[in-house]
Amino acid sequence: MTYYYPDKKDPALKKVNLKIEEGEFILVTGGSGSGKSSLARSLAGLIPDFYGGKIGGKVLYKGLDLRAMDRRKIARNIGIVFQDPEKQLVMNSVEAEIVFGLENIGLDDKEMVRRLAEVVGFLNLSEIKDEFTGAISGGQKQKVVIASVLAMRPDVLILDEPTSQLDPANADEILKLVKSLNDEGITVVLIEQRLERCFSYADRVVVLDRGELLKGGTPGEIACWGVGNNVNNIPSVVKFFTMCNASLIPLDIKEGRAFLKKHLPEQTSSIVHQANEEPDKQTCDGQDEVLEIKNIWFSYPDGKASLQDINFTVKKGEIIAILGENAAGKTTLLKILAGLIKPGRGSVRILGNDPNKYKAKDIAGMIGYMPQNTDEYFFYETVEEEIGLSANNPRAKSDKLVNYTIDELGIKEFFQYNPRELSAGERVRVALASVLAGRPALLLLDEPTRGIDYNFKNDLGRLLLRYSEEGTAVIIVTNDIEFAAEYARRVILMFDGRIAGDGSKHEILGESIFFSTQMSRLFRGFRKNILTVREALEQIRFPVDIK
Amino acid sequence: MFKKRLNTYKGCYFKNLHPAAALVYFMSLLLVALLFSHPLYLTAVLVVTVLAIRSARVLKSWKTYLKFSLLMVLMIVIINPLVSRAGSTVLLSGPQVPLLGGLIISLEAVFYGLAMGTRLLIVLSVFCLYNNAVHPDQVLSLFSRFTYRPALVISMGTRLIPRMKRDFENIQDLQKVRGFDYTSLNLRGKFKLYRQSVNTLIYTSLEDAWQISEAMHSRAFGSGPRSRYERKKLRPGDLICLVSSCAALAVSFAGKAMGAGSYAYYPKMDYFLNGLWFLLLILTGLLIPVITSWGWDHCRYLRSRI
Repeated sequence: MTYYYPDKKDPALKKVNLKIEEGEFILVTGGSGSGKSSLARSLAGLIPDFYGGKIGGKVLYKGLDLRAMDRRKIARNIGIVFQDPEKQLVMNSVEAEIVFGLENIGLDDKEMVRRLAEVVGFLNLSEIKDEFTGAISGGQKQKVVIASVLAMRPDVLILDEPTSQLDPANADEILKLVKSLNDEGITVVLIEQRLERCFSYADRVVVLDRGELLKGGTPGEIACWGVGNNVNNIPSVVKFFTMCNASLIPLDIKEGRAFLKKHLPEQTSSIVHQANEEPDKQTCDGQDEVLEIKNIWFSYPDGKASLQDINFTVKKGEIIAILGENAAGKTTLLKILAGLIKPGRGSVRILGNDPNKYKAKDIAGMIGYMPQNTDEYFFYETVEEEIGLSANNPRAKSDKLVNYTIDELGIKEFFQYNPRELSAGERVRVALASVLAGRPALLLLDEPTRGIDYNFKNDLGRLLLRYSEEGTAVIIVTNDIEFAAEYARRVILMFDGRIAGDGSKHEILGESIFFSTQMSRLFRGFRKNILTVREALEQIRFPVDIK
Repeated sequence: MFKKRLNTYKGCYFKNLHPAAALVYFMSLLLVALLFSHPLYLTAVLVVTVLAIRSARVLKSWKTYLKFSLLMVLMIVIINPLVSRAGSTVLLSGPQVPLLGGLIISLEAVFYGLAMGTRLLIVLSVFCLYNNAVHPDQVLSLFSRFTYRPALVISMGTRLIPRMKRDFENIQDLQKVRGFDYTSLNLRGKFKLYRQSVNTLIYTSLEDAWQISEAMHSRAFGSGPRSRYERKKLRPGDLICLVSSCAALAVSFAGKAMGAGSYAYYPKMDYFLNGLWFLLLILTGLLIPVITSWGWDHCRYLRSRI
């Protein structure tokens, strides 16, 4: 199949041939703009029916051309769940949301009640059945969306990055749910960029690149091919064992631990390397304090304490990752640091001064803040204007680092585009360039890796390290633990508005179960201080220890 | 906003009413308040409304409404005597005031202001009751049999408008953090900045709307005639409410046609205690749902029956 969006010169999908067997679990991956979402939409019949554009080739469902099928029939057989549950919910109550599709296909009342009862029971939604859709958590919202699709009893379930907006615990729950649906016989097509949690679930992995189907195969085959071809988003467990030339490639932590138990000697004090306990390369020279937070408390108007007794300091050049479940107070804290909301109690000092006493343009010179939703970030007609705005800041004039940033992010080619014409990943690049061009002393990033591909994640990490070397302090609120482990030096774990842990990344991530990396979970009990593949390879003395 | 409304739509008689029964009851409270200007009628309807609010367990939310309602009532009570010259019982006469002329405050104007203030308070209180006791999706379900699409738009609006408000605040926050400063700008600069943030909001909302419509399309919305999920069935408790509300309305219209409950404030106030029989009948009709609610709360048997 080949497909062009309306008014686009380049095809979003180029000669894609794919056959999916009944009951299969297909994992589709690839970088930004590789055509993953377009493929999902074409499989669900939304392309070209909803989008328009030019199409060549066909999508056949059980031998029938989707374009010749009635829309109701498609909805009954093929369900699709998108990234952001907020932008899929139509009704105000959970129950009404679940039956919305059933009403659309004209089922009678009795049948609707039966199907409602089924999905509410299966997905364990009875407690929130009568709730407002706006009042439930992000994970619950995504579950409700899945329930509303499942109520139509589709044979095929397509999920377009369903966990990208969720914290690790909720993401895990959703993916396990998807796996259990596949076990019940539903064919699953899962579009994902973060493969750590779902790689082992797949029967087949399909890799797309620039609209073309680059490679398809079993997870094991894709792992070997991916490592050989420098494909970045191979899960770290798989990547590690592939790089070790292990005789068998475990696909998940359970298999990996079983393999290690068999092949790796038990941990003894003599073989524990201490290399990772040394300070990271990030500069903290001079130990100048950029930020000091003392005894911060904050409550929203409903009275619930969103932040309680927050204390910490941030030094020049530090990169700190703030982790925690959804609604733990991470974003609120970031907004307080950005001077957007005033704390109820306590003080914030940035470079020794209270940000609330500054004028907006002075704050913009000190702090760079990138929100979760970068769609709201753009005020100008072109990318150049967006970046020029911050570059007008006196600190940024004729700055080599700013030019380096623009080159590194690869956005020069978009300079004359309207930021809203760009893809989600490209928008994040532009927003980031705009923030960095201001050369802030303190950089605040809220979920910067959400919706971006692995290659950009690496670019982002490298940029942050470079800015950190130049003395910029960076605070990242993220659910992307692998990213935090790779680039942060210090990790703050938040729970219920409080700091539940603050220490080096090895201290915090090495001990946790949910907030830890794949490698940390893999090596728990075998080796200490391993969070990344690099650290694992350093300790295991590749390829001697494992064979 | 939504968190406050957790558990709002459940747990008592009024919140379990069929939306049609609830709407008819609230409508009858409103209509009685609008039909009659008699101070006794208005006071009685206000008392019934407050009792209904208490039975529906939305007193806390009503207190929030009261804050701005009372301010508006106070303004009416103050402004009406200042501008009205129709009363004959002068309480106070004073010097010439610019625009108002000679200051004359009459007893009738004070009472008329109080009556109108009471009427406004009833209207706002009934609105509070409706907003907190009837789930918007149930109203949508009720009206969808006649006008589904407009009802759906309104229902989505109840969720999306607060979200747009939140998005707009976020956009203005981002302007601030990017160095745009409203305080240091002249009117033209402020307008330009404001226009920028509105543009961003419109773009963002349109993109969101596109995604929601795509999700709706994928669930076969607009693919042909649709069925309707009956979330609530009419139960005896709903019938009690419907019948008593309709009876109260019928008596009100009959009373109005027969001149009962009419009351003149100017030039001199009428006798206070006229039309009491009609008031008693209307009150009975309006109070039956409140009494049923009391029974619902206190008698398990009654609750299971109705």
